[in-house]
Amino acid sequence: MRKLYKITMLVFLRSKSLIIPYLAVLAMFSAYTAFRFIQYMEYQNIFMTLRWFVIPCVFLIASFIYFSYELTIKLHENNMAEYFRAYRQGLWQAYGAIILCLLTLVAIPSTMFLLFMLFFYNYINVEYYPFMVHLLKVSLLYFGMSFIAGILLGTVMAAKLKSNRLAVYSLTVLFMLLNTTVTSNLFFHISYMLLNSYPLEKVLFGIKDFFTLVPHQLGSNFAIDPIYGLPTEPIRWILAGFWIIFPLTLIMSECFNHKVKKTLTAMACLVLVLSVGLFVFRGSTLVMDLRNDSYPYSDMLYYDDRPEADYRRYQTEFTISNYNMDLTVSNELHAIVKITVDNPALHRYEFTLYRGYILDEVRTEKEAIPFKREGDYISIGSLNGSDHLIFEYHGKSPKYYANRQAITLPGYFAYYPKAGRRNIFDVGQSAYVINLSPNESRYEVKVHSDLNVFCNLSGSNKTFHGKTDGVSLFAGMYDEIADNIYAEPMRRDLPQKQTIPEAEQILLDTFKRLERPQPEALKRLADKKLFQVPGNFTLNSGIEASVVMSDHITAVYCSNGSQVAENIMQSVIKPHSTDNRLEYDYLSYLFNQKDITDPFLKKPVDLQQLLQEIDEWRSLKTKLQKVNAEQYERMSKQEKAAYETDGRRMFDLDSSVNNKAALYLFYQSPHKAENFRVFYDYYTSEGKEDYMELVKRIIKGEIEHADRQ
Amino acid sequence: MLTVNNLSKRFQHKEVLLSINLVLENKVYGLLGANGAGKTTLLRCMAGLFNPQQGEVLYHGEPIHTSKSFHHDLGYLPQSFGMFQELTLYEMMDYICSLRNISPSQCPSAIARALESVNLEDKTGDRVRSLSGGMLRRAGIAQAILGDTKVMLLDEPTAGLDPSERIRFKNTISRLKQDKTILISTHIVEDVDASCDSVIVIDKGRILFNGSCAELKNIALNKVYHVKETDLAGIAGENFSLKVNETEGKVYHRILARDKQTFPCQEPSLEDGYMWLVKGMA
Amino acid sequence: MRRLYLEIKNLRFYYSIPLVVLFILIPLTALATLKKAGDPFPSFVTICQLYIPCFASWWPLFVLKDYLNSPGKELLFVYKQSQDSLLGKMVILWSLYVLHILLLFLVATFLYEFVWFLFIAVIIQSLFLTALAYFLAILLQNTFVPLITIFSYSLIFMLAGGYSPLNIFVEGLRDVSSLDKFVFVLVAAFIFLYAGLQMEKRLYKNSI
Repeated sequence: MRKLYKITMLVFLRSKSLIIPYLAVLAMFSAYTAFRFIQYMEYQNIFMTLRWFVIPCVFLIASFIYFSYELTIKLHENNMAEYFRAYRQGLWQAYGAIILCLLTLVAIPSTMFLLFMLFFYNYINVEYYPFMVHLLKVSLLYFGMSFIAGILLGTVMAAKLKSNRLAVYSLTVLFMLLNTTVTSNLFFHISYMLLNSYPLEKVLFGIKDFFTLVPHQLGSNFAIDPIYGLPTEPIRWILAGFWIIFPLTLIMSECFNHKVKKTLTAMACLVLVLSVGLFVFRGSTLVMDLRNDSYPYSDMLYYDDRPEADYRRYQTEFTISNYNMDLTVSNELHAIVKITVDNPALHRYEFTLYRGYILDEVRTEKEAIPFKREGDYISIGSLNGSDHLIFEYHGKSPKYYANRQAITLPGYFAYYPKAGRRNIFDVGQSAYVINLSPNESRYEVKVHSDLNVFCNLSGSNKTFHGKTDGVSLFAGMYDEIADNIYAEPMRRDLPQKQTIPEAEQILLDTFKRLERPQPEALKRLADKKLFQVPGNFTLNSGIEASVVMSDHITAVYCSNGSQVAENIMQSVIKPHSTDNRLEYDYLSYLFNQKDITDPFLKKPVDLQQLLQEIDEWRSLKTKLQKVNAEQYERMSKQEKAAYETDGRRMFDLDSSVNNKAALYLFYQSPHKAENFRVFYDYYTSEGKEDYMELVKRIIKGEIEHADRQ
Repeated sequence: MLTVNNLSKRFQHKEVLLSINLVLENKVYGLLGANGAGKTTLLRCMAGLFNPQQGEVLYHGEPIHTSKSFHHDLGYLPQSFGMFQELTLYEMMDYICSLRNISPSQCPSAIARALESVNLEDKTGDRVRSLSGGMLRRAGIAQAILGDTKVMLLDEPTAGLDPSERIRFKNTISRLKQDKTILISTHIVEDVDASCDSVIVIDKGRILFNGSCAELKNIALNKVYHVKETDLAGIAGENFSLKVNETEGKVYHRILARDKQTFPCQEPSLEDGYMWLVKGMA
Repeated sequence: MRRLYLEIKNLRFYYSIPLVVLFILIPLTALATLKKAGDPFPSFVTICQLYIPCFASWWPLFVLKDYLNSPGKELLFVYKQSQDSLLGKMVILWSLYVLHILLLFLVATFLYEFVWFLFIAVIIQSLFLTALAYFLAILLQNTFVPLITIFSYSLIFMLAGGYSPLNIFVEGLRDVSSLDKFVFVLVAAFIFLYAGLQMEKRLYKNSI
């Protein structure tokens, strides 16, 4: 075998069509990695750089398919296969030598990448061991096992398809397309957008995922959260293993006689069935693309047509005083939650538990209780004298994942049963609703997980207890970076010890300036734990930038107190806000976030012109909103051109009007302090007045006031 | 008539053909040589695939690259054959007809005749990829004899053919050889003996012999001996063992010897003459 | 033309793959984008540039395969005459592909305006990638590497390329000024074709 291996290596090294492309690929890969490293030195963004490092993976795998196919096909094109077959296990030895040779060739770039990752880890100087482990896993999975899968795919194509190059080329191109966002867009557009078929989309994306051997698809612009890193869930390893074992079994079936061949073919089928089964039940994985079940879009699409009657007029007649939660986080969340209700005499109880969790059983201590599950809601009848209920469920949320790689379960999310019917996602706001209990409940929480889990409750060794209005759990590349401050250590914008005290002081001063009472929840912030949450939390939800709970705060951006204060204020006003544009400027001016050297701030606003522009903008908005797609199609060419012109004008006025209004009201106006108060009241009230009406009213009032003077 | 004048061909630093001079008339020639002797290279030069560093190939006095009729008259069978695997045998032959500018109206009959002569007339609808090695070789011969071929260059035509097909091949050549120049490159001496009028022996890029089969045999006249193994030590001078066989429990050697021996002389075969040349005993 | 017809016939089912892309995948995807709010034309531009040019190299490479990789390929070159050049086949195949693209765009004129600038851009991009495929195939005596190279190039520059002088893909394409870049792309295509032809004449025969 050793001799065969040596000869096979010689064949590879002496084949110009193999050695030259191989060296070219190695050189390009090295140059590309060096280029991205130089970019890192400029931008210092670890995860963006890591994303770029892994992008060429698909091309490297395709290259290895080429090398392995071309090397193995030499066996068949020169009739050597027949010759080897004549000897006992001769053909298997020949294939074995080829595979060993290819493994040697794979080992070079794999080792290069691994060493580079170790160098990179040392260079970035974060001294965070889990990140190094993550880099090693990524190297092994995507620059080790995926490459091996590539060489075995090429070898099995040569073994089975032989000289049918058309098939080999087509399959290689198909593999490349399946591992980029080209097919994501295609499947999404055709199955969902065109045919409106969710099952078809699910099947197509399922097939795509089964063939995915890369960590980050070319074309995907979603950022990587440091808590999660690149995906290395168990299913990824299982798939990589499948794409190694399955082709290997097929290759072996070519090498042996009938009896063994049948056994090997049966083994291949078994491996396929097992892998498909494991894949179907893969549980919680982080999915960042266009599909319905993805992190960014799943809930946005689902809740788009949910009737408000589901929850709007429902009044909760009980509260939950105690929770005893036994949570197991494996491939997804498995939970046994025991609650104690304060009013056990009711005939009907409603609970909210996110729809992604499948309820297995609801029971009291004595018996199982019949229940009705409708979307996010659980309806139960009488408790038959008991005041305890036990919920057993399992499942996942596309956004608030819990698996072997990371856990992000904030306390305001219904990953455990909450009393009453609550809205999970507000379509109008395009944001997740902050669902906190009206009262603090007592919690006993035990988490079974391989990860180091952090919780707002006190405790250790993954067992927590205490009183709160929501239990938050975080795990992954996550740590306590300072006393009561928890964050993703790899982030650049880490909170400091003084961040929350600063924010508290700023909020205190702000409410004083506003002459409004500070909400109770915003007092004593410095006593609360701070959990910095992943940046992608705000990807599809504008109000999770900062959430204050009874004993802890979650915040996305908290590198300084001013930022935290602004985000907390946003959570106060956001629930009532009907516009985003003016509100962002309102907060920026309120918290002095604007750059005072910006010449825009110095240019005085012409109020009359602003009023005219407001009228023009609103009239254009009304006019354009009346035109639907059908009416547009029926328009003549001139009408369409006029429509496009109006659209562009409205777009220009949109930012101009809002920017100028904010600039005047909150910066240049002599009554800006009053304007801040007025708008605070507006944003925190239930009023339906259009904000531009308010703007116009204030500006007109100020013009009149100025004229009188 | 195909003429090769002072042809030399080099690949990088290796001289593959050295000053080859040949005149091929309307006869069947066998090109004999060991592996690596330069047979295939010579055929490729004669087919116009390679440009030699020196010399030229003329067809009726005109260089083959400028001759209008050469490619029309040429039938070439390469060493390996089997492109267009997804086409049927008929379609592949049709392709060759088109390549050789055979008139479309004549194609069907030409293809039928050619396939019949190689016993593949029942395989016209089969895909090329489904043909066995021997059938593929026969298909290669068929395409070489398509139409009004005047010059046939066949590289190892009988490789992979069973004995009955080799006989059929010989008969086909005999039938076709009228007014044609046929050059068969092979290392199977029996094929040359059976099919060819003349033989050309090539070794290490040089022509060692160009003449009739009888003349080649006569080179080894009185040089071939049948010697018992126990008597081998008694052979005088330079000698070479051609064949070893056993008869009635005794081992005999067929020996080629430069000097006259006392042992019984044997009638030389074509192989003996070839070996005499190739072993440098001439 | 009969020979080219048989060479295309030799592709069997694989011949239809670019047609599936042109007449099924692209129209379905384009129809889907019409359902989205806003101007659908930019999406159509992206779809066309993503799928059409890279598949332009499909037929040429698969036809070249028999000239470069099949047993007995030398037979094809024994009889090859000047009017039978591989370059000629590449141009004919590209023209055939352009005819199919034209059909697609004729239908597209009912759905969008300004398609003809996009059409010109796409056929020039197709010519460029066909020329690149031809050049690489002759240079490397291989059709697998050019195929991977063409698709890698298209995927990289369409999905992550951004601005780069090497990028033949553009956004917009509503007016003549958007076609400025394509003069250079066309020149590059001709350079590749010319270089490929020179190699086809001189190097190939000596490298069998």
